Amino acid sequence: MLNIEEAFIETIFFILAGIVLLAFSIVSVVLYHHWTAYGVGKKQVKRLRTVYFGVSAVWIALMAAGTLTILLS
Amino acid sequence: MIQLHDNETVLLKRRRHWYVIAGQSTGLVVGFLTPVFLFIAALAHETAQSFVQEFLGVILLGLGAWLLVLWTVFFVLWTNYYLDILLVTNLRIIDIEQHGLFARDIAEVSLGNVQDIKVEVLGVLPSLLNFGTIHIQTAGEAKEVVVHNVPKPHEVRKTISRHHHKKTSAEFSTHARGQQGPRP
Repeated sequence: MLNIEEAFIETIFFILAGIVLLAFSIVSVVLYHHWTAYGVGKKQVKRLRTVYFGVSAVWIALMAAGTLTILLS
Repeated sequence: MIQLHDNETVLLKRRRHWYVIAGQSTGLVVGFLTPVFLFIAALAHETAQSFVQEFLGVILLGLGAWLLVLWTVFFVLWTNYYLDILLVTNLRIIDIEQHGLFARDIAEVSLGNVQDIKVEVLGVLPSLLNFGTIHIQTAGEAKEVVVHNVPKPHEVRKTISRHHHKKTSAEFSTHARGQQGPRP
């Protein structure tokens, strides 16, 4: 049976993860706008996009793995 | 993006010294390495192992979120650093300062309006790494433009002085020729 304290901690972490993902989406849009609008070259924007979103995807996958572990346990 | 005039060429382009971004990122590197090392160390320890097994989901979720925050903050710092730029052209000096994500300050001074340039290299690190502050006194509305953490500031000062001198002497000779009137 799931401990109430454990469930509470998990809920807090889910909420925090949601806030982090929301903030990440907003900041990403703003950053991308800055790169394209203020003179970072096209080639560099492409490279930046690959590195930034590629590594971010790894951290998001880690979060997804954590979520799945919680939900399946 | 800065639009150059038809007869304008860029003489010099300087970003802030790399020391600026390195200094700002130190905390992020520590924040990145600490939980990763703790996680690896916990896997090797017996008592911590059972804790990790029990809370694996929460730990992974928290670690992923924390690393995502650090990664995003690093890119915000990098973007601020990259978009902070000093441009010297044959006509003007343009200093673009990016303050955070939502504030951008552009100061522009015509080379002809430059009255005085002062370079300050203060401290051990700036002297060793050759970066400092440039104060540009102008005759324009903005009395002084201050650019911080410029690499090789003396080189920038020399370039501005040389082209300021060229520009003013060209203007002076045009003016003098105009005053002489047509030759008989």
